[in-house]
Amino acid sequence: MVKKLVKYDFKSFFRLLFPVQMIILGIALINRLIQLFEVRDSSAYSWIFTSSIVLLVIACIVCMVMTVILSVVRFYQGLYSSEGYLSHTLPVTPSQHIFAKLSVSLIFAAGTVLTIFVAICIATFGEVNIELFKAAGYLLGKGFDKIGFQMILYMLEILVYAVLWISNVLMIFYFCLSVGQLAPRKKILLAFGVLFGLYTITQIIGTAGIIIAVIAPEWFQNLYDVIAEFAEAHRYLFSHLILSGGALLQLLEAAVFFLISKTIMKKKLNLT
Amino acid sequence: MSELLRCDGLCKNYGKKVALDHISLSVENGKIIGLLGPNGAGKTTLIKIINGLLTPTSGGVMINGMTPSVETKKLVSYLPDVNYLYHWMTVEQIVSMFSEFYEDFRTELAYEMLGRLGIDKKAKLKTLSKGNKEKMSLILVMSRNALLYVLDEPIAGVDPATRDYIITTIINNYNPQASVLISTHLISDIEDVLDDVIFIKDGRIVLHNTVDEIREEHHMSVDELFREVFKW
Amino acid sequence: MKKVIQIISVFVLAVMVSTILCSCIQLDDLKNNRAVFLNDDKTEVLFRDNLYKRIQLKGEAIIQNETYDGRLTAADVPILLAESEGSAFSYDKTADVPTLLKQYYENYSSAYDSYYTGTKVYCLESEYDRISEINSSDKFDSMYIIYSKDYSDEDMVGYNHDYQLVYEIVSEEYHDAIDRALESDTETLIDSEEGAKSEYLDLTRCDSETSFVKGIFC
Repeated sequence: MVKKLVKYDFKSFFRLLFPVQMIILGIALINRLIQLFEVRDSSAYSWIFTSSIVLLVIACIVCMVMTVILSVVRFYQGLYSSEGYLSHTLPVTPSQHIFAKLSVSLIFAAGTVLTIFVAICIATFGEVNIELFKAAGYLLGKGFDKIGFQMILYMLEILVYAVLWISNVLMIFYFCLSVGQLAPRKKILLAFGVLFGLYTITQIIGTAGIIIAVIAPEWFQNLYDVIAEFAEAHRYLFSHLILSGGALLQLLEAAVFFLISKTIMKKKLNLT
Repeated sequence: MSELLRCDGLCKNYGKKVALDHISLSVENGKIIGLLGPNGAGKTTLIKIINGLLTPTSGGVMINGMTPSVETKKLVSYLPDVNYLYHWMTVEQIVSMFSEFYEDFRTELAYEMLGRLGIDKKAKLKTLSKGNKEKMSLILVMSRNALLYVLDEPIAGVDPATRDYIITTIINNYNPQASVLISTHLISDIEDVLDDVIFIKDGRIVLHNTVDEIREEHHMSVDELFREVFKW
Repeated sequence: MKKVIQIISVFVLAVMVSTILCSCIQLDDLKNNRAVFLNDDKTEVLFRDNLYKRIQLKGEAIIQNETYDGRLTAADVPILLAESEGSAFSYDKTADVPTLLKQYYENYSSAYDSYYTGTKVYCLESEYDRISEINSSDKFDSMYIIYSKDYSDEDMVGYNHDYQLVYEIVSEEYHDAIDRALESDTETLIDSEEGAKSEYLDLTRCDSETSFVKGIFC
């Protein structure tokens, strides 16, 4: 069922995001075309070229922002607006709905990253592009020489962390929307309120930590010393623990928000 | 005869406002039931609870002996009173989607009915007229071989010819072993196809009887009785 | 729709093919300023397809029209990493094939880790014998003056002024006077031709070809 949901959610995303991604590639192409007319020490060329680069950067940022916004909007539209009448009468569980929406969002996030990568390749197409790959390969090789197979482990951990972090961010939005839909009116406003509330709570916890550190610096100093000693003695293990631990935390947080959203959808759906 | 739908003491409150007040009813299979009441009586609220789109404040619903779940969604074919199809899809895509998600969906029947209406399967849903959109939604719902059809205001807001088409489509395509629950406030158009009627007023059931018994007992049509019961 | 896709594809292909054939000015500049070590001893360097050999100096080398754009790296370092992975060197910017290259810093992992290792000088192979002879002789019987000359246009203001270092041999008749002036450590302003204002920077003994300065040993 999830595969079927993903198929149709994918289509709804695709028709909106694909044109933006094509625009990015178009701008990259124009950028490369402009470089054909490169003239040394020409302020006119410099101005035009810089403008096209700025345009490309802005387009990439817009696409990234749009990907996130679309993920949130499609979740709300598909499950808590009039489209929800169709979605919730399909023989599909709330978990499957949420998982499908999350999967499609992640697919398109990866698509946006890929598009930006291809855009950079197009904008630097030719010798510069080849030199960029050579430089990347050289740095990677140096990394491998220095730390061996740990490099692969680091790259995997960073990738997993990134995916889990994005998932967590999306799950927070889904959670806020799910709580928001409980309200009889002004559901979006309540969703924003929940988001603001979550942010405030995290800030309070952070500030409390700082206050404790200021009040009882010895305790923190002892903790810091223990950690620093461990880090010094087991450098690689420490960094792997930090990365994996961070990823696990993201997973746990996302799981909590997933469970709450699913429960709300199952037991407290309020499609008015 | 088996009990397809059962509601026990269903209550739904929105804060202080009582939308449903201890609704209890039972629907057997093979019947066409009219859920009749004025606007704001609680018909849509009751229907949404049956379909799992709202959770009751108290009380329960059973469909074919099961609480609303994935399994009951396979048995119930629901037509809401809103424009609920994905407007960006084409006719072909939405038919394909229904056939993928519902095992009981009859694709050939759907295309046959669409063909008779002259609706191009490549057309985007958002380009269809209001009437055609309503018909499209109904065709999708009636193309399923469901056990319980729940139609929320299927004939409101359309012209008389379309109303006739909708009623004919319902009669011609539903599974005789199934039941059809139609909510409406346009009684005269639908009275002749109904087996049972339920009158609902201010969230309470005020009448649940067969059409024949109503005519016998009250010596008037259901439409006339409705005007009696719900007069200001 | 198919025709539109076909036209777009042809356009994209045309752009891609044409861009392969053109070069990038910045990349060309990087290549033009990059030298590579040819051996592990770092005694041989290839710069603009010319071989340079390390020369052990007795005095300090002078490079006229000096530019610091050069980057010296191992041969396998990609051109884009020459700045961070390479060490800086200077050369005569007016010469297509400069005679001397002066390496200043050693970079190991990044520019931030670079440190001064003392200047190493590399000499063009075809000029090696001539320069070595000058280097090994003690004939620092000339004196040169370094001053910066303002080549700016009249309307240029502030730090946009185009100053360039000028090396000139001082006539022998002034040598004694200069020696005395150096001992008394007085400042001198020089008026060169065309009335351009200049600032004196250095005045010292050198060989007749202004290749080396007497004094600092590497």
